[in-house]
Amino acid sequence: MKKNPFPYNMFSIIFSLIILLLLPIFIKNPYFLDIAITVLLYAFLGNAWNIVGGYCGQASLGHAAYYGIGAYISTILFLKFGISPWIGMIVGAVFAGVLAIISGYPSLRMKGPYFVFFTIGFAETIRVLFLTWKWVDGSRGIIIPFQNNPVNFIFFSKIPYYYIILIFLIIGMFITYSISKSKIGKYSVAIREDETMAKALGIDTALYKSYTFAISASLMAMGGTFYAQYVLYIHPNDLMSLNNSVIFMLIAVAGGKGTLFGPLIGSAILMPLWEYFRSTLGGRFAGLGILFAGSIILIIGTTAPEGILGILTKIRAKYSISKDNIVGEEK
Amino acid sequence: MQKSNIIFQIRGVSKSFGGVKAVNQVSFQVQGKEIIGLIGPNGAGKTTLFNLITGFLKSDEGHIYFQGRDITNLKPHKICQLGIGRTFQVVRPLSTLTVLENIVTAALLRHNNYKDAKEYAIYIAQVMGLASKINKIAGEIPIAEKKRLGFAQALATGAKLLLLDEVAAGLNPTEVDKFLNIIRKVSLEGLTIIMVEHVMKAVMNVSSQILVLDHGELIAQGRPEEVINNEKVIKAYLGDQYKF
Amino acid sequence: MREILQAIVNGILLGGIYSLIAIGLSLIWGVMRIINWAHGAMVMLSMYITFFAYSMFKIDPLLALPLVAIIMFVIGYLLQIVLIERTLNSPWISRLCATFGLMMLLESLALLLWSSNWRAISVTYSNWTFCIGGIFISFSRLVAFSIALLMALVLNFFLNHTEIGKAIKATAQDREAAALMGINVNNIYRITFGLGLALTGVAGASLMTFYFVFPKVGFPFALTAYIVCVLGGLGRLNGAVLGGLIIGVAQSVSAYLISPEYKMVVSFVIFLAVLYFKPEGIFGGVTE
Repeated sequence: MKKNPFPYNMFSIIFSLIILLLLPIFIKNPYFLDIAITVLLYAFLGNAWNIVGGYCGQASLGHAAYYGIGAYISTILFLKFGISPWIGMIVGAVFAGVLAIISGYPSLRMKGPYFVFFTIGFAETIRVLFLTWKWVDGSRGIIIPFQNNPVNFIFFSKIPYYYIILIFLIIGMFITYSISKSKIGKYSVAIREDETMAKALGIDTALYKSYTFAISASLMAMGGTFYAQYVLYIHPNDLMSLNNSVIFMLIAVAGGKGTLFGPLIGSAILMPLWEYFRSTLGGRFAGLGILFAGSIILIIGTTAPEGILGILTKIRAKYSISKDNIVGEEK
Repeated sequence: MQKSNIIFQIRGVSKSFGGVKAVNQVSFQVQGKEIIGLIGPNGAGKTTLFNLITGFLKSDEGHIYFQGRDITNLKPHKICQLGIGRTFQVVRPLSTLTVLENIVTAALLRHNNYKDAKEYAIYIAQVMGLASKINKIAGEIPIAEKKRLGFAQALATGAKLLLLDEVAAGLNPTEVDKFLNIIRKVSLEGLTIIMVEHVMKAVMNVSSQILVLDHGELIAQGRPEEVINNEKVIKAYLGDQYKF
Repeated sequence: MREILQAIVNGILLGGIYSLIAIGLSLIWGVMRIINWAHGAMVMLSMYITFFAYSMFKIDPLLALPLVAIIMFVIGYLLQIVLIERTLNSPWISRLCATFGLMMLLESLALLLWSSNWRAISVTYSNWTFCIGGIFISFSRLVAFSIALLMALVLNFFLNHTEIGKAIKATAQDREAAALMGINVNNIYRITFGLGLALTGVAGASLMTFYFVFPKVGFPFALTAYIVCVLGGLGRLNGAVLGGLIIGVAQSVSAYLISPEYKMVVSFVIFLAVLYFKPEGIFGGVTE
């Protein structure tokens, strides 16, 4: 596949952006708006995962820990110290980044499945620690009182939340884009492709893995704060579950790991279906959402490793070949 | 006596794996702009030696010096940053990236700016005869080109000393000659080269000095004509039964 | 003092089950270099099969055990053909997706079909307990433990003294050499996966004599099994056995000394310590 310098169709990007910006005007039903917010939130989270999992190839299944830590830090600072969640969010992000570097240190030399085990173990440990932590009322979770005020990052209507998460997503994707064009990005990809070769090319793989992990964890934590302020109830099992970690990975992988728009596409397709199964059916049928997700992961694993974006790209490549009648030279 | 210009020294380096000495007290030195051929029967420890020099393996004893600096047991990326580049016996391109992106990744070591790195990478690609292939996916090009890509990448990191691990293996004579020409050209530009080779014609033709390794020990050292007639060397390759 | 001894004994007994589950996982990894993320779900599946064998046909779990093992073997064999084989030449993340997706599928199907209610079997010997020197030993747990040990010995014999077993060992060591020697590697993979799942079948049936099943029951067992494998050394079967006992005791003792929730935390601390200090595990496993 020939790669052109700017593979993104500017027109469709601007078009989609306009639609996204105008969405709340057309969708007044709070239920659908909620789904839209969920899609954007998980696109944001999937994008955060993608930085370290897709670009750098370090498939972490413990990212939910940072999601939860972000939520808890901003919430605790807000409820116990009266600090605005906006500031708490930054604190959480910084803390998560530092934690990612420190806790990631032992895992730097771990390969493949060992690394995955490690991340799962780490997240589970954090989850249990929060669950048993009396000071934050771990086992009961924390309810955030509804005092709506922009400074408190609490709003009565869903519309501000929608625009906030949209902005988060744009920022997140911009960060991913900048990384992909920079030395960090190129080095991360090299590490993903062949870590030994990367070292032979002078790349300090431990350093770059740490960079991407820190950035990824920080963004995750920001998402956690948003969730806390949106749902106004946090609990370790909701936030720091392996389920969540898997969803983050799934969204990026289903859409197309290591691509800029993969997580957005993955989220746009998977989350509405997921929400539908979860809220409309519920009970035993809550399983259907997972069934569906599981099937998708399975199919991606066996037949479509490049995700939906990969499939679309292949279709487009085939279409342009026949259109331009190119013979011989593979596109 | 000619003024020596020793840029690389290895002294008494050994490495054992579970009781077996893969490299045993190897010592030699290399002058700037030399092309050294490192030969020896299979299992002699040549690649192990390369791995020791480039930091992928930790030596049990001994020291390695490059440009006056002790580089023993430094991490691989550090050694590359100091100016030693290598290729791998089994080629390792960054498969899903294009040839150009592969070289750019290497060039980023000395060029922080993506644009500069790209320009330099294109230049290196031309030197290596890969200019027409820069947009091909690295995983899909033929093996001879993959080997040239590996070489290009090592060059692009700004290496002053190149360790080439069996670049000629599996190539037809034309491709081997192409490689030798590039090696000569590169050496004239001031690079020092140590090449592990099995293809005798290749290494004898181009080296100024030959080192022979057998069972981890350096058994002979000298000019190609000297080494080729060395009894110990013949024995190592052909066994005791061989008689002239 | 007696309580700690009791905890240790319980830990050993449960550890046997962990070993059994871990052996299957370790075998699959050792031969095919795949981490079967659906392993826990397979334990759950065999537990449900055992449960329904009892509730529908009144078959005692220990009698159903061989049947369950055979059923799981067949399932494993088929899964290898239908699913895993497609991923053998893909990067490891594809295998992760395939087996993880399988796990999600199984758990959600179980939830759909059988709901999240706990199911348990009550047989005549469910409550039998011995008391030796003040330590209480549950009969069914002891039986389960013995079965686990027996299976470990049987497997050991199988791998070292039968044609197929030796072929499996050869394939684990060097897939290409084995193929060159005329071993049908694909078939060996299928048999291995089947065997790995058969072992979960044995574990599941044994568990049903004293435990209960619900859709997500496999998860903590699987997690523990992974830890056991890493502790013992991936691919090292005696490592899986020893590791299982160690983790079983560690979990049991920490549950008593600290709190039950810390079971997993302690396991993970051990796990992290192993990964940090001796990543190859106790017996030096296969890390590539």
